[in-house]
Amino acid sequence: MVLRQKLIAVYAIFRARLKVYTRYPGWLVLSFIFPIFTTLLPVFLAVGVSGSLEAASNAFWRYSGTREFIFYMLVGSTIWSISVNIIWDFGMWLYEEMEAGTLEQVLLTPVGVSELLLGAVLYTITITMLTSIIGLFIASTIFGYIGYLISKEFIIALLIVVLGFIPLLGMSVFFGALVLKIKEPWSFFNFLTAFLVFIAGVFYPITVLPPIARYIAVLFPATIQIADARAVLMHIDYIFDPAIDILILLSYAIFWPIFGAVMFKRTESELKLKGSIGAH
Amino acid sequence: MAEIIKAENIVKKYETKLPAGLFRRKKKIVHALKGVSLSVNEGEIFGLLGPNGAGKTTLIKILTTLLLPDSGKAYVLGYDVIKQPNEVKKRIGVMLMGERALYWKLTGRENLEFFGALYKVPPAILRDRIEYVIDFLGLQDFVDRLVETYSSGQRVLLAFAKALINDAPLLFLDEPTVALDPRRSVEIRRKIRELREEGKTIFLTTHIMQEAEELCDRVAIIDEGKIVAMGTPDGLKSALRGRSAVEVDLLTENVEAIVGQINAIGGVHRTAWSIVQSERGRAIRIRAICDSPREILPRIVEILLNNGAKIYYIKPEEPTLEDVFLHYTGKLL
Repeated sequence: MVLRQKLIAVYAIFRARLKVYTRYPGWLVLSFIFPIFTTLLPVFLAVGVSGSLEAASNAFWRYSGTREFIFYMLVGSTIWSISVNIIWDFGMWLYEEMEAGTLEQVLLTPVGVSELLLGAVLYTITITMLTSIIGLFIASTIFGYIGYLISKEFIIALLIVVLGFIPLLGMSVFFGALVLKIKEPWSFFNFLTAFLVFIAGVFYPITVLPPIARYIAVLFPATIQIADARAVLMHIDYIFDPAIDILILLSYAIFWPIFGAVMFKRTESELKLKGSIGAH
Repeated sequence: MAEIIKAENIVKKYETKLPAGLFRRKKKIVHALKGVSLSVNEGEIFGLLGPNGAGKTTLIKILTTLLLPDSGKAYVLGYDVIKQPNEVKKRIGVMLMGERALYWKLTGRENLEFFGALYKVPPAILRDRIEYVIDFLGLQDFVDRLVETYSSGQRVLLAFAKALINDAPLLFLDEPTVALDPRRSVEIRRKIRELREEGKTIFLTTHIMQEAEELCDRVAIIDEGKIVAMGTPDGLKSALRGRSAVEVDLLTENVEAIVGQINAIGGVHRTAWSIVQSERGRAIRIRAICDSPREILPRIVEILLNNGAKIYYIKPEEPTLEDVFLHYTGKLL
């Protein structure tokens, strides 16, 4: 009974967000096109710098072990887009609620943080997975890589990505706490989005980074998700090896949700004491 | 009669930071509540009366678990608001001030469905409850439109409906009629009385004396974070037994001098002024509590004329809660 009630609350948040989303049709259309543009940018940069698609492919092969750099980047940007959205969505949702004045109303109801998070993020996962994967399929069809996606490897890659959702959800709660505290999410969001592109190997393998940056890169679940999904799909190198990579992801899957929940509870209590929980 | 709300010595301070340069901030401590104690009985309409900034919303936020007090204890329906916030939340309906409490891109009905689900009302019961609330508050004409198309009054009605969605035995209403026109205010007050007749306990804040007098079984007067008086409206007014009030609406530039001179008349106990919107536009309202208006009135008129004031009206009145407030705080609301 209790679980059913919790699921009803989660679904209510998901459904309300989905309804609001569908009431902005322009937003809906653009979210399918966006992943294609994110990928085309570095592709044309590579072609421009190397002189031709072939030269770019050859240069890329030396670092990554594959000449299919367009597909490589497509996979990277798709997973990056999903990860960033999951990390930030809960915080952004809380911020939107603060701005709209509805956060206090939600916090007046007997709904727990876990239900709020799951409801908010279920919407994000659904929308970003749908738009990103449809975008990936459209782009792969245009560039002739659809074969990579119609395979059992694609399912395995998807499972790795989904496993990475657990630590990302924990990070999401942590950033939600941060947003409640600092009240201004945009500067941090812009920094982290750009930093993740740089550090997580979205458009290049992390082996091109300086050694210290490679170690920092592995601290982010998205780095492992991206590298391992590519490794499965394109038969190139994993970060360490499949077992170690999965073990690292699993350890993050334990650490981040606990850390996020502790930080959120602390921040919530602190703000309830300060009286600024609904302020922005 | 069972105590539904019990607050004991609640203290709340806020630290605000004021800009004092590019990076420097000056800290300022605001004492919002200075040891508030009160209790509300089952089935009554309890009004917390006070001017803006008196601490009404802070207290309502503590009682509804949105804020933690710095010290003191509070129990709602027997549950500790600090230690058992979820038990409290399940059993209360809350209408906080403002129309921003709603999702503007959803319809009224979708808002009610959303909040009903967050209150974990079982779906079958929720459907019936939504229909009941729509009917009870007469929302039929607009409930299926997006909230962004609503008038201010319609949004307040929907916020009120939201507070009723979980059929809680205890309702907190923060300034429920503040944004409403007189007709809708009367309607809301009638609905509040009906809810009391259904057996609900209602805790409402207001700065409208007439509303408190008309609705509340008991009121607490709060000023500068302290409860200065508590009791039934008649009981509170009995503190002024044998006294009357004189009200004057006027235009003057010497209000402080006039008030000082009226206060100096023998038999005048308290005098205060405020700016009001009268039928003739903005005016200054002076209210004096005195023993005998028959003797005092000519002397007040004399003072006003000597100071060159333009008098709109002057009249003696029976003491109201406004005078009780003036009696205890020396101010008008």
